[in-house]
Amino acid sequence: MSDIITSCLQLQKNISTNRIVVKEINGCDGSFIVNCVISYCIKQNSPLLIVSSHNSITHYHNVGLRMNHNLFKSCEAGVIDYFDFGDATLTNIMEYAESDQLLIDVLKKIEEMQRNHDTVNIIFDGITHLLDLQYTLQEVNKFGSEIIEIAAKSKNPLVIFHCNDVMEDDANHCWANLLSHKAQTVVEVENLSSGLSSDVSGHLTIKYPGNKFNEEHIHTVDMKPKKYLYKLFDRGVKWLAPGTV
Amino acid sequence: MRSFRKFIDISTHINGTKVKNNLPYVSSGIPSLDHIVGGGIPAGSIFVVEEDVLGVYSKVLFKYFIAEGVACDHELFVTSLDEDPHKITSELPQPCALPPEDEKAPSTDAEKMKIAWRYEGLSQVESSFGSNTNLGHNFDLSRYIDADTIEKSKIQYGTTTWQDSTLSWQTTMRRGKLKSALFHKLLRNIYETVLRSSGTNMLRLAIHSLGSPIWMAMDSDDTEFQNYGRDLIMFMYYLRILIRDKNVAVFITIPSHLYEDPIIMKKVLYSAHNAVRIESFAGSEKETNPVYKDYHGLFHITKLTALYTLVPFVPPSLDLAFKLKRKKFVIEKLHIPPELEETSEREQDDITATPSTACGGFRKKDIDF
Repeated sequence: MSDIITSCLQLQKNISTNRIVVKEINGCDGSFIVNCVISYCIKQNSPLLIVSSHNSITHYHNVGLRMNHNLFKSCEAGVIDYFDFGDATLTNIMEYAESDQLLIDVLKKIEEMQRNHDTVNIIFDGITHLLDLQYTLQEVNKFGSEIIEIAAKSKNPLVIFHCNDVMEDDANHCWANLLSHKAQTVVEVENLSSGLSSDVSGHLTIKYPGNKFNEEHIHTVDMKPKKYLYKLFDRGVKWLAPGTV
Repeated sequence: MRSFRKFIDISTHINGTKVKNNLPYVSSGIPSLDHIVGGGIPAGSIFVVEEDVLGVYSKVLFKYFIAEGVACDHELFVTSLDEDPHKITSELPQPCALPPEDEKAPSTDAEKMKIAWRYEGLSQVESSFGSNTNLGHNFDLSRYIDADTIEKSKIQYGTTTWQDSTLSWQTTMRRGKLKSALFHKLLRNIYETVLRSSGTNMLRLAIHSLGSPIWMAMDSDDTEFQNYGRDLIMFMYYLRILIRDKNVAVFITIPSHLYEDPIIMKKVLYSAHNAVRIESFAGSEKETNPVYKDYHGLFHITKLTALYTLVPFVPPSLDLAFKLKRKKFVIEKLHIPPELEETSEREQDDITATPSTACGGFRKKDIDF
């Protein structure tokens, strides 16, 4: 499993600021991609900052225990750090404090980690919740660009945005597309249109917009995306070619 | 040094819970519902019921959830704007030791199915779910829990009233802030309740008909239509953040059929963990369709999330229907009755579909299977 993820997401390639966008379509849950990347970073002992606004750190820790890594232990060792964005916003509301500082706090957290580590990888889980919290499209787009800009100051970092694409007529969709334009790799996870199945968990489509400037693809107008089916297990994910279930 | 450590939590000792994936699960009060959503409602999660058009059956599920909390001696927080929550808690089904017996009409010779001899030895197909569950209680809908028991139980009622629906908490649209006093007050109520809860007992939050017209009064008065539903979406998100990783189970009913814009419900459900939708036959053409004569409606599973695990639960079937019997509410696998009638109709004519036009003419495509 880890080899497939490593190769499909190009995690081991020395790409300057490897930007990956995980898009959840049709109500599908794409947090398994985040779990796989966390697992990769822990095994590589690569520093990681998790900004969580959708799933809690405890959820990732419990999933990680089944995938044979201990997230809390890595946090104690200083390899992983996290910023609970959702909790910080809620606390501000209940204490009648301003929320304008939160985005700046996230950027400061990244810079703080960069002082101690050469490479700092970043995962922002549930970034489209910022639009639910009434940040404007301009603000969140600028925030996304600033994260990429600050992340680029460290050596070959991973930056992963996990977003929910609600529908085409929505700001979430617009922002997911804006992020996808900035990305090296776009992973789209989608539920089966026929409903739930015990054999297959959903569709997975991987696109590489970042490769369009590579020599081998420079004359290609439309690069074909890679399509897979995937099946979730307790301890990992299995990716299947379409028709091979 | 071992990297894997078995996690043992005090929640294993909480009455009325079952631990699965390091997470305590509580019963919804309906064994068949628990079975089809993966064993119950996990702590730290939001369970949404998209109401049927008249709200009759969703209220039954709501009462079951509260009754189960009373039976397990859990802490409860109940709120509703459309109905007095005290009235709801005065009509909770009473727990009974054994499952209420099914009412069976005496079968006549004419109704007995003729079955081929080779199939006589086979066991009957099991349509119902949850008959073997060891979580939760059985309830009798025809009898109510007495007032003394309700009085002594740990039920707290929300302080929001319909008068709050036109009050504005924030006069301007500020980032992250709820505009409506109604949503803000309820969130604060819940926040204080969660903080006060001991953590050694389960807290059940039950919110009836969230997002009904009373809740949305402020948004309806807003001249900017794109703000409609923003407080509801934000409230659901804050609720998700507030209860995660805590011994709190939330049960919300939402009249989703009132929302024309599908984006609002999709965003609301994004913050929920599990969701189901009730489609009642009352008032629809399916009410007179002989295919559905044994049921009161269809039961759809809208969302099932994996909490503390990678793999979400896959229910045994997605073709589900429910019936409200005199003593209990049951969810079953939908079975289409066999076509046994002999007629002179041609094979391509659909004899069991309800005619859509007055001049007759049955169409096979009218049957939805």
